[in-house]
Amino acid sequence: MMFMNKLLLKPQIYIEKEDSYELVVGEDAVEIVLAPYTSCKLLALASSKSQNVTIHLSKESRFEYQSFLQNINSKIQIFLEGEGASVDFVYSMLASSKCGLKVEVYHQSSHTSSRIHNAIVNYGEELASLSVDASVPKGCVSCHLTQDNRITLLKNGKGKILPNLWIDEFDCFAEHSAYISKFSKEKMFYCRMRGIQEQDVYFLLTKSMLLGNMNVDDEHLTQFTEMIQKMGR
Amino acid sequence: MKMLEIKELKVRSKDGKDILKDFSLLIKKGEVHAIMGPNGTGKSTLSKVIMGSDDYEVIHGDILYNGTSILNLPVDERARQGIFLVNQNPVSIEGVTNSEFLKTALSSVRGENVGLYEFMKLMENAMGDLKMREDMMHRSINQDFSGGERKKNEILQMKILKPKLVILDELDSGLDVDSLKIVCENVRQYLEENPETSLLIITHYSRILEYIKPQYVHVMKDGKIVQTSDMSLALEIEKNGYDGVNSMSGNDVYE
Repeated sequence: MMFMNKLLLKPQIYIEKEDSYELVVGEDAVEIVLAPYTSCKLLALASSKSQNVTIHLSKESRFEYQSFLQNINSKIQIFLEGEGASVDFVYSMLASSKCGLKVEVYHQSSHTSSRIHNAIVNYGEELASLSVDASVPKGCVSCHLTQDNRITLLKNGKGKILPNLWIDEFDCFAEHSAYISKFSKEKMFYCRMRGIQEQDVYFLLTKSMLLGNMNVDDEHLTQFTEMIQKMGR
Repeated sequence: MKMLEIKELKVRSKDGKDILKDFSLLIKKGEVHAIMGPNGTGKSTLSKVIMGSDDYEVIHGDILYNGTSILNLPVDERARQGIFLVNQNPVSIEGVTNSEFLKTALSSVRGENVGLYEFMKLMENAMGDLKMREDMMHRSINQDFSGGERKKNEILQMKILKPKLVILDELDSGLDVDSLKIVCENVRQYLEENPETSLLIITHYSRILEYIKPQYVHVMKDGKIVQTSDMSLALEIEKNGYDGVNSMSGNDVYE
């Protein structure tokens, strides 16, 4: 685990200074607490086949959570506890065996915001799943919720998306999209029409789907790109 | 020397509709042909079938490219052999940059990895010719591009990939007068620099043919060529419309 500006009380990580972090999550459950008025960007990787992360966001804290994984079962709980807290959650996964993500987002204060972008490319024959729940209880006003869930199937694998928004206030702004499909036939045709072989087209489109939303440094970008290339072979 | 020979082609769409009916056409190396016709006659279908789209089924006939049938070749192989289609409505692909896409395509066409320096120089020159902004190199393919920018991007790809047979499908749609002039000048320049390259222009209007003069103009109706002549035919269509084609005289069916 690489941390700067940290106060680490395992399994709880308390972040109180603005910075970028890299976190390798193993089998132990990890709890991340963001101090009030703190913003931070975290890149979460995995060292085991499953991960369990809980995130608590205090007043006016802003959390950018990004993750690029391969064949991992993840459970992420996000508690927007303080007024004005916000999370931008980008989760990308390459799947070749059964795996999935379960995200639960709890808006517990007013003016909180969650933007969830999940993308899986399933190269395998088994099930890849996304389960995304977000809730806004009575009394939490002016919340903003966005969910975008995508699974692309390359072979005979399956995909399942279970998106749920439970909103008990009238003035929330919510957006939702979910789709399971193969790569667009038109895009495949367009790329191949320029001489690019099918395998290389899959690589380009997978990369765009999984890395297009991510904001990471060149070193990680190269690392993730290599993972995609390896999977394609 | 024959470049493209289409013999008695019959093509059916997936929903069972016959679109091309005994369509024949011969294009020799270095020739410029134009196919004109009203909507729904099968012009765009023809371009996609030449390119290898599996949206259509060839139920009779053959397409020969440099003397060899290409019907069984996949799309990308046809492209690597030098066939290039400028799309009427190029798709946008979010997250794949123009430069990454084109470098991958160029490496595929050449069969070897293209060096970054050489590629950047090629791009800079071609983009300069087309008066394209430099930042478009790093933008996602056709994402948020205007109609004119999309068409310029298609011509940029042509200039980089250096195909031998270019099919322009409605190049002039979505282009303003200035942009049309720029892209047509670039196509013309490309033909001058590559005299063995053949060009097939598919269009409704004769406007584009004023910039790129074809040696042959064909009129297509109901899935086949009904009339062939030179540029005068395009001008007559402009004057009388397609309905007047049957009543025109002095033009033979092209064989």
